[in-house]
Amino acid sequence: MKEKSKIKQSAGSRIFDCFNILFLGCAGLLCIVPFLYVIAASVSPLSDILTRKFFIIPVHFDFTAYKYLFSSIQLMKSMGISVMVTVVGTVLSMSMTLLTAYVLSKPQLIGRRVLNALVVFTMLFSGGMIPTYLVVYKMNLIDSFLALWLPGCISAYNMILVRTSISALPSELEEAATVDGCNYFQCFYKIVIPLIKPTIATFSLFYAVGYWNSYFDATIYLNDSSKWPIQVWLRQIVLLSSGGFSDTGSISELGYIPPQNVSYAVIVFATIPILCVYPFVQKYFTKGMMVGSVKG
Amino acid sequence: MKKEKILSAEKFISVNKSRGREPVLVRFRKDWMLYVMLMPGLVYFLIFKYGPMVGLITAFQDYNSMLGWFGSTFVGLKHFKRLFSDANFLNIFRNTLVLAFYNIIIFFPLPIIFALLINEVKSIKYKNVVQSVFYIPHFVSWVVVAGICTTLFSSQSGALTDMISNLFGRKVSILSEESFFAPLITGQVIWKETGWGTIMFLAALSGVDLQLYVAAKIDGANRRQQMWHITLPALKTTIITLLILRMGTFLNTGFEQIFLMLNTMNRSVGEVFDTYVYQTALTNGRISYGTAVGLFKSVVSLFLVIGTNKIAKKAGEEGVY
Amino acid sequence: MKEKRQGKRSKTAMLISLLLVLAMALTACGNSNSTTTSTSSESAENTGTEAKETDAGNGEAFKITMMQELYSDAAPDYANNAWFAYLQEELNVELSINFVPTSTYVDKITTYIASNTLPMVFTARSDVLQNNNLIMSMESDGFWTLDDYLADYPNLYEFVGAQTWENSKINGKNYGIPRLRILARNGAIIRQDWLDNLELDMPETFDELYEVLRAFTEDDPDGNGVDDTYGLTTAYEVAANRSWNGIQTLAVAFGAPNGWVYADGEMVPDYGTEEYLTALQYLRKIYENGYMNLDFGEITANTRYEYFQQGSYGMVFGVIDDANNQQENLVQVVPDAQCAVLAALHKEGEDPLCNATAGFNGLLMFTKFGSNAIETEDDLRKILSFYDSLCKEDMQDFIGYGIEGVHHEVIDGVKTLFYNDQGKTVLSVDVGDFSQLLPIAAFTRRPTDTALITSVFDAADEREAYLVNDVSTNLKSDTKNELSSELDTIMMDASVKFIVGTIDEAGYLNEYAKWLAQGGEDVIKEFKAYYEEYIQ
Repeated sequence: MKEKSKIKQSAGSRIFDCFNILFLGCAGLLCIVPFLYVIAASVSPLSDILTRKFFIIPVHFDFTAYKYLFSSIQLMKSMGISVMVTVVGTVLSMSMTLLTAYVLSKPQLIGRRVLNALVVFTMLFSGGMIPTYLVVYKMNLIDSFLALWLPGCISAYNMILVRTSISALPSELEEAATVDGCNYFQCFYKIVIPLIKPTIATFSLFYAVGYWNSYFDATIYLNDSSKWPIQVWLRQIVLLSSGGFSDTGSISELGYIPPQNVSYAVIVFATIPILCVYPFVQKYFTKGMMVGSVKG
Repeated sequence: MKKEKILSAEKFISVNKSRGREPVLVRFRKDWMLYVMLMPGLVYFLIFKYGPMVGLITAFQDYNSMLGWFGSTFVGLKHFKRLFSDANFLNIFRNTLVLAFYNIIIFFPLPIIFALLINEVKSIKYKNVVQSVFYIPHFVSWVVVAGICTTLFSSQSGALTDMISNLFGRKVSILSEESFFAPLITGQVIWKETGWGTIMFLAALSGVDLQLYVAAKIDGANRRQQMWHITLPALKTTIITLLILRMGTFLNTGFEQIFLMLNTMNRSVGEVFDTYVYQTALTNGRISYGTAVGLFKSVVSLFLVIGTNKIAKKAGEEGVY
Repeated sequence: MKEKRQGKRSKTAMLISLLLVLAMALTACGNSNSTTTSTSSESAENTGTEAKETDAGNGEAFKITMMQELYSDAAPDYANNAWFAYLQEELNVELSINFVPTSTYVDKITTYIASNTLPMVFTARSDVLQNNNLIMSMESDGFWTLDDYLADYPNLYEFVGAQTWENSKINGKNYGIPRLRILARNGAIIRQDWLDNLELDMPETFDELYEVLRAFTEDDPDGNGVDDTYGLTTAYEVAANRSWNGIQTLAVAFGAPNGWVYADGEMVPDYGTEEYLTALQYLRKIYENGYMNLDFGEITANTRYEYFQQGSYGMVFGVIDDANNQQENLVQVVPDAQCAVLAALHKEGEDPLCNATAGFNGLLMFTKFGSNAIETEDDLRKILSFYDSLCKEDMQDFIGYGIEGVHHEVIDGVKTLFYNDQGKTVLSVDVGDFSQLLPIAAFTRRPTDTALITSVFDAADEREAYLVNDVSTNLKSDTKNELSSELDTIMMDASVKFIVGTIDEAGYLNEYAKWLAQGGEDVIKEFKAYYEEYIQ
């Protein structure tokens, strides 16, 4: 509901708005220009890139980089795997995080302070790669997708912040619901979750990006290369085309080396999906989303 | 009807308050569902976070990964002694602190400021566009960022090098000179992470009741006063929580970013704990030493977190535990 | 309103449960796949016992589990292609290979060691061999030594060559099959077209090279009337790859030892020698006059190749087999460009001196511990005979050309490889990086080689006569293991600072004294002791 203010704006207020828009616009340009360069480079021939013939708008067009990427079936398959891993991982992580954050925000929980301290402790101290691998190994999760979802299922950092936003909810809400006969789970599901939609959107986005960008865990826990998500292959392509392997061996062994502009195509390819997701999340960040939920 | 509900609510509050005086077992029985809901998370933390912590023992051993923890020899504080007696230790500590301070003092406030500015924009379309553009740098990898900096600032062919040299009146080499290192690194972080950092604050701001602004305006408050008295307080909890959590990663500088910008000339100010560990421990698999350095960092962070949390609680805020 | 909300919520709930079911299904599929294609500990143990029982050579295929670094952007589908089918059938083996991207390879080896599930055969490059976990496992008798068995496998022994077997010993024993590389790899690539334009001969002495670099910078070799060319481009890069930036190449040509030498009863590192300093002074002069890229202390190794490919530099240090790749990229920017291998530099009237590589890049090692180990000597012999057969001429041919009609065809008596739509040879797609696990000669001349490739191989052949070896290749020093990266950094930084002009000769020698004090002295002592005990 748009509120048209009948109170006149001061001159200072309008100047501020002007400057604000300009300032944000400049900052935005600064952010996007390098990425526009990347996009332009991904459709330019190699010679143009090396000699820096263009700045944002390509001079010549050359789609060999994308042709190379799309001609590989493996790449498409691994894209599907990435999507699956991200979606399932995000849902799993968000559910666990919300549940745990809700419980840990309740003042009547026995040992609440200790439990929260223990969670913070895990943020500071970590056993490292080998012990974590051994735990995953002992649980027989090697080469299973569960190894991508379980070890990092709840991020303590995220959980603490979700817990903070749950604590910020007025306690009258749950009290009213309890009086109506809701138990804890119903309170959680029917009252709390709908009220913290912006928080859920935010941290779903964080988890999703985390899962989407992961490649290290995949290579360590998944032996079968047909299960690797797309980031693994994209990294390989970038390393390969930027000459990172010239130390390896005789000429005949390396076979075909993709040209350098493929690196740029890879960056675009790896980033675009997440960029597409953001607009859907953005609608949760509009002002006054939660207005009207608590009256008096 | 309403009156009854209010009365019941009061009873609820008093019931809850008195819960604290009830014996533990009674509380347990009454709140059983809560503890059931806690189970998954608890099990997760125990297995996947506390389980691997056993591995910290390698900091006190000469860990032989083939023989495992029980087959490796115990060496006590040998690795810590090596760390503290390393000729570069104080240097590394200092470098890490410098970057940490730059980061907290210069970078930390920026996402807040930008979130506030974005919040002030009236046109929803412009706001959405600006937001979407701001978070793009977050997805650009550090390798690309380093490449961009080389392109811009290289002493051989940097696009901005001449311009900057004129500004300073002498030939500057941003990528090699020591005094430029911390600003360069911080500048990179600002470019890459400010936009993404606003997300959390914008989410918090979306919960602010618009009626408050209308009421304030009627009372005669100008934009600045509105921001100070309505908008900022809405972010207070988030800011404080984030600050405390930031202390938990105080000595972490981000390995990849620094490693890419390190070279012969700036090594004396650029070598930080993370790159040091990489060079001495990770590249040749010295797990014990790497774990020892990590443990040292963790202990320092622990004290910082405990300290800031206490301060926050004293100031009446909710801490992280 | 309430019903609508409930409806929406149940829709979301359904979606979530659907996704979870999908996830379970995929995971289940994944798990069932994994037991057949990957190396789970159970199946390996089972086949281990199977192999023992079928020891009587009744034709049961012997299962070998392997592990290999992935350099390309696709792993070969070895369960489903003709090349592997032929290989496994011909040599009566069943292969199961884990491919790991090179960036995480060392970490994966570490986790395998820690969980005691290291596959039977795996490649160990220098970074793996220097990895403390591997070294400790070696010292705990985790790997087979081949010394006692080699005599029984003459094809394998001769293929590698006695010298390389010797070079690749660790602690006096052969821990694996070395992967052969060109010995005379270090050198430089130069723009032949610029030399032609300026009517200069290929430089061979240091003075000639200096003159060429000056001419490249000042005399407009590309003839475009613009002062936009430079002589040399190089990068300081990490200490581990000293040969890349050319300092060591030049130093050896001046007469310095290649890293280390044992002379007159003393172990001498190259850093402190007169000749090394001469090389540094040479480069310093080049830097001062602007014949070289000014940001050489800031950029990475890849960037210096980029500079060269842009066409504004005339020479770049590197490994000579990179020449072809540089040529291919360069012609896209400068169509008339022609690269050539820089002649082996020498002092006036003397023979050239070339710094040799070790002649191999890593070993194929054989695991003795854990659930995937090669359990008995008989199993080891089976694998060794597998490799022995691969060294025979018919199998080498198969490795190089594949199956006729599938991977190559014979045109006018010449075997020509097939290419696919992506520009790769069908053979390289089928074999993939598995080739790194095979014994392959350091270089193989093909009839389809370009003039440039031929010149690279020719150079490799000629320079064998002038090689200077690094004595420390198979010497052991505990201090070096502990502190190598720190020590290397001190001297590398000192060299760079000297070239750039930040410090002078006294400053450099100061750094050298620091190097000695912080551990260099100990390394010298330990190398000397080891050399005198095991090598002499």
